[in-house]
Amino acid sequence: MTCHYNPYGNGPLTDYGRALGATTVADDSWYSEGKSLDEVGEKSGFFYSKPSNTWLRPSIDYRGLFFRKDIASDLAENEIIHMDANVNVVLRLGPKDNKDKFIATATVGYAPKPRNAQQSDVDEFRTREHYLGWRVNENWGVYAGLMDKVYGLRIPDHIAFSRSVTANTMNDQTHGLLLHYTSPKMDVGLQPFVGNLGEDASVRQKGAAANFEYTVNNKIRPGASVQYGQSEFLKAYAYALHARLGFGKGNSVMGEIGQTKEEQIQRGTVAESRYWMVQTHLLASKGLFILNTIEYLKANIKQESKTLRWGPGIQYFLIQGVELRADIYNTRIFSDQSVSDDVWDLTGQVHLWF
Amino acid sequence: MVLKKLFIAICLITTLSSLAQVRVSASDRRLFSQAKSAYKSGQYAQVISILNRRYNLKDPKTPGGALALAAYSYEKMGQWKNAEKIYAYLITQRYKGANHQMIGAYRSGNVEDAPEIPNKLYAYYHRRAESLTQLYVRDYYTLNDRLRGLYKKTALMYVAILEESDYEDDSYDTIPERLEKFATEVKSKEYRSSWFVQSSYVSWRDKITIIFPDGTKANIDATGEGSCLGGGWRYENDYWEVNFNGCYAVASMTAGKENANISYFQKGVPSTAIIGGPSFLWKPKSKGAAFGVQLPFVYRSGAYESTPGATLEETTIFTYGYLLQADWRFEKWGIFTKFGKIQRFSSSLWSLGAMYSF
Repeated sequence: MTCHYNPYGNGPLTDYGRALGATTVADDSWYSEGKSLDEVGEKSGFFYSKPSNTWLRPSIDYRGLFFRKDIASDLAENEIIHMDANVNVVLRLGPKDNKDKFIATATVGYAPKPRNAQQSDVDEFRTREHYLGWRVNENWGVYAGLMDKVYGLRIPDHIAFSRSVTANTMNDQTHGLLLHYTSPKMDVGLQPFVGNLGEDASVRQKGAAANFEYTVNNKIRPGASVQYGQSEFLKAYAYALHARLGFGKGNSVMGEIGQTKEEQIQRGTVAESRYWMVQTHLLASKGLFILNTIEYLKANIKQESKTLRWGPGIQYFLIQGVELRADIYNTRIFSDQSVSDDVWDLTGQVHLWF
Repeated sequence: MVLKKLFIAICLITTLSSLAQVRVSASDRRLFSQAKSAYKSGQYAQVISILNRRYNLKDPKTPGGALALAAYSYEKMGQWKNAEKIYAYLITQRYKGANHQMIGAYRSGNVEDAPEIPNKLYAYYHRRAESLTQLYVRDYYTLNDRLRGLYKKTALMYVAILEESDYEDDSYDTIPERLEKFATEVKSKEYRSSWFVQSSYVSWRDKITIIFPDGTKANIDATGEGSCLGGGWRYENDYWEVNFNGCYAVASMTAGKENANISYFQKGVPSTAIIGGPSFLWKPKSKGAAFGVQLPFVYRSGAYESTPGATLEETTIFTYGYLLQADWRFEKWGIFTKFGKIQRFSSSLWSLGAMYSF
């Protein structure tokens, strides 16, 4: 039983995921007084309603960001970015006793132009996910359509080096086929892909990604991922080791270390980069987490220069469907050529899903 | 709760029936009827007051029904010690023979084969076990070790006897669970100490001052990273921790400044630091993870070299700071992060490491 329809996370939540979010993740002290957990869980559907049917699950989702870059600088400016605003629809087409056996899901919405492509003609409305899914049995699942690649730890921070240098950031979804095997001991995902069919054929990355996670016990889950893709211009490889560790109740440490290799086919150049990431969560009270994202990137492993980023923050699930988050990012550049000042950025996020 | 009420109602009825068999005066009957009405309407202090008017509740000659009603009322008022005393008297004096036989069977491990005893005695076993459990939990920190042990052992003995009987009110089942849960709570609040070693990646931004021959000064920033080895001693329970920890850091710094007035660059500068001080940590969800601050003192020395004619200041400094600290721990192993400000450093200090506790 998964929290998202996509077994690797992201996208619309299942009924189970919504109920779990409402009863165990969010701070329910605001609204659940006098209500049993069952009642709270039942009313975790579309706009806090109890689903009126079993076959349709609509939802909407918004993520906005307040961003102040280099807060110590006199030139620092505040910026508001609407990172996405989506409408999601899931059709549950399975038999009565297992409606999620067959699903069709689509996500469409606003997505701003990436900061490095403001002048491009990238459409500001896009679909980041649409696929058909078939849970063949309790172990096997097959999914076909546009999805994120099954590589590494899927954390929500799309600026994370582990996502950006491996081409798994906010607009890097690909059309493909996902084969998923799950058991109490392990999860295996294999995903041949053909690139995003909405993009120009010449830049579509065709290849495959694979992800393996092994459950040592309910607190330790190591894994590994590989990914390969090729377009007319670029061959890209990535591989990583990762682990998720649980500590006590609601606390976790996740880590990923990986390397990438990019071959510019026409120029004949090769660049290899290395990264690692540690993200920690500490449950302070129901709904409130203290988190820290620590990242390392060596953009070219043959050079000494590297970047480290330390990002302490707080994350608060006010109620089911409302997440507030604030982070400070302290970025430090290590170079054998020069000395740079640290950069301090401040972000505040609002994430709504109904 | 329903079972308990039902049980008390049955006991009341039984008590009243037994009372009826005793030759009592009309005034006694009237008084007991008043006490019973007061009990039914929840006026438990009134019950005691009424019974006290006629009986001495400490007198062995007082009818058992009156004593039982008083004990139930004491329970309702949370006066567990009074209730327990009455149950103890009823068990050991009013059912002396049967109780002696049953306790003997228990001690010799033959409860199963022991002859049946009156149902009312089972009920008093149950109520006394409950009273002792309540007293054990409520007065744990004021009881001496002998009484703690006695209360717990006696309560569990009665539960073991009840488990082998046909006694119907099985709410006594929760007694061992509650005692176990309470023992866990007590243990979680007990402070303990341990030593630990730690190793971490550490990074900081330094600041040194260069003084030129004409007396002008300029700050030079340096970025560095290295490893820090050390350990500490902690004093903790499952909710709070104070520890004193320190480590010796060996780092490599890159220092530089480039502008119209100064051109300075030096890489691979060996730098060492001793970073240590107390940490105060809160464990919000008991064990597993902790969050708080460390207030470290820092002695830092860097082998920075000056440019010809100029001199350097602050290559060795003693300072202090404040760091946010978070720990995640399995039994022995743990991971920690620190992040914060050290005075006279130009930016933050970071640390990410592992620790092992003895």
